[in-house]
Amino acid sequence: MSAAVELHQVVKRFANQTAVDQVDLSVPVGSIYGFIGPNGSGKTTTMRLILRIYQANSGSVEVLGEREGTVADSRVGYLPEERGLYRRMTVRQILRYFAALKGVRNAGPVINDYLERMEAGSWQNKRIDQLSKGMAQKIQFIVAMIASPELVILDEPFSGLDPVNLELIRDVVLDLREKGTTVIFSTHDMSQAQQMCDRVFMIYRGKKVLDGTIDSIRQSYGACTMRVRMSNGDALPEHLPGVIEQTIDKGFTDLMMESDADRPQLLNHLMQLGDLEHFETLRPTLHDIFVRIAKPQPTEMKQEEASV
Amino acid sequence: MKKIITIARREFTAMVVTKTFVLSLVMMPVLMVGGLFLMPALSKLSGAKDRKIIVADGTNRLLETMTESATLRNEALAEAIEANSANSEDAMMGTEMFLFEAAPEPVLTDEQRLAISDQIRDGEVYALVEIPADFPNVTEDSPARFVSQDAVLSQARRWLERQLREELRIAKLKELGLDPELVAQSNVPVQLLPTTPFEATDDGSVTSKDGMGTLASMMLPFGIMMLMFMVIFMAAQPMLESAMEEKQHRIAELLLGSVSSTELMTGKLIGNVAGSFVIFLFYASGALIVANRNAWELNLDWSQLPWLLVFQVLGVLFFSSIFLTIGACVSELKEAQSLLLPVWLLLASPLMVWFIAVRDPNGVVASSLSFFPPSSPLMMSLRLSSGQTLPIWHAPLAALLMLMATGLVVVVAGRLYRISLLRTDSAASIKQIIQRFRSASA
Repeated sequence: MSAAVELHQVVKRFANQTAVDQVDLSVPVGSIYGFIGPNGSGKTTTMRLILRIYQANSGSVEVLGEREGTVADSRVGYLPEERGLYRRMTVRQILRYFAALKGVRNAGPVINDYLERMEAGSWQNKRIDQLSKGMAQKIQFIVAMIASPELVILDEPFSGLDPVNLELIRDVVLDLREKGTTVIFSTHDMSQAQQMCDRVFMIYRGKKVLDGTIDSIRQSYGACTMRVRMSNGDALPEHLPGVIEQTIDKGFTDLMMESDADRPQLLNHLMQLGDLEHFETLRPTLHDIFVRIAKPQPTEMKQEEASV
Repeated sequence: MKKIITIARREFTAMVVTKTFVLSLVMMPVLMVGGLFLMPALSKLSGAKDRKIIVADGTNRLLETMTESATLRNEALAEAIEANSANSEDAMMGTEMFLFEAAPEPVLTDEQRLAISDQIRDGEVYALVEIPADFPNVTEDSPARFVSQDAVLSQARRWLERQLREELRIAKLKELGLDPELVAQSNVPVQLLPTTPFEATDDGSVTSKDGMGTLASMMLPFGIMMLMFMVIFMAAQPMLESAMEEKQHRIAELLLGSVSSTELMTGKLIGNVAGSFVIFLFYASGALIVANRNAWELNLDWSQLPWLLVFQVLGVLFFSSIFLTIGACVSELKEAQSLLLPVWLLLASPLMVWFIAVRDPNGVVASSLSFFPPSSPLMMSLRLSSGQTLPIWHAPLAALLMLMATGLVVVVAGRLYRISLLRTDSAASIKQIIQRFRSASA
């Protein structure tokens, strides 16, 4: 089994809305896969489809080599975005309860290990309603981990955490990869995704718009932008071969190119214009790519304004 | 299966091991039947009330006999209160001592009537009784009157009517030349001993059991029906709260990451049924202890107990599934209440016709409601404990219909529960729930 999760042409509809539209995805075993996308784009629905909380209208979902049945077992750990626990139970009772639901025998040592690691040992006899939001979030994170699953799905695990706790959970996630566990997590923090993920999947309006390693994605998007500067600081002519748009940034001019633009031709053209001081292919950050994809187009903005 | 048992165990604990549950367990019977015991106790605490009644006796003969009768009654009542055996009417209405006093004139003027009425309003006098001179030949212009602030419901008025009726009866007998004493002696009370049908015993003799008093024979089935109602009510309510808690506090998705919605719902229902047995055992054993201490003979056919338990389990499953689904469909208790009203009406429908059903347990009303699944548990519990022999196929058919309906409700509820649990919007009307069910089925 080379892929922990395989989605093939998966479609999920709610009433008249298509939340996930013909999505293909292959998550390699032992990788950290980042799910990115604007709010309401279909990240959580895709995760719920993987967990089989939702059933796909069409297409196939294969998780840990199984196409049928429930994946809500000890092999999969899940931290949902909307989190909650029974408020009147203590931390230890909650952890024992979910350990039992996951079929973990002799959960005591595992619970102790995680409580210690999450610096929550002294809270084990506190009731959930006595915990801070961050502390409750850590307990929920332990719930997802308690059965030492092969696949962990974390829906925005870092939201609402202070930098110390964020670091704590980040380290656990990175450790999981070291142990060969597959991790899927969604985030709005692009720098987090860029730092941690082996591969990134971006979904936008239910459709897959990005899928690959960070490098390959940056490579493919970076080729479209050239950063240039003339030594005399002169502005460039309005029309340049293969250039769609020009933007000025800190004394440089960024040229957004057509996808099939001829860069040597542009270079020749610029050299003929004068003394070319700087000519660089820009590699955008994940944040730039995200914004470029998800930013509303001028026509959409006009439609939104009209509807308001 | 282990997951289901884990969920069932938690649900059972969450339902039973709470202060609210223990409090409800105690308070429910107190609120429902406590009044019957509370009223006499309060009456005894407050003692007898003196009722000063002014009598304008136009006949100039009735006041004396009325006063004698009232004195005898007051003495008997005082003894009964002391011995804690005041009859139920006295107990319910509050014990009252009637103190008669003659009006200033046998026939009152309007000024005198106004003055006494003011005294009544001030509470100095309880009532004024006006008896015209040619009583009992009263006319519309000069009726016999009882004037008080609570004249319609007055206990004193009813007592006086009985006394006057008796006086008139005696007067009539005398007019006819009959001796009232002899007539009274000719009135021989007859009682037909109520018994159950005869049965052959092991030693070959044929016996029947003494039937209970009429009141007891009606109250026992009613009590069993109320027990069933309390068990279902107290078991179903926590299901609503449980689903709402899991939805409101976002626990549902975490659970669904560990178990399927079917396992979750099944576990909850099993825990709930187990909790309902605790309620049943508490009330049933409490009732038996009370009956035993008071030496009440409960004419119960214990062979019907398994049927009662079958209807209890099915009733709890049926209504708890509905409550669970409503809890998953709504976001606020206020929304749930409007959806619960028709469910309560269905459950409580046998309570509205219990008096008809208990008098004729094999009649059309009782039989029909037995085969209508939402009312089956209550109606069958009343019929099974009525002491009458039901047609042999009634209980199995009612249970079968109830089982089929419960199966259907559990399936429909399960589908709605699964789709509603993760939704943040509410389905606050039956129409919206049907739409949601259709989308779940599509």
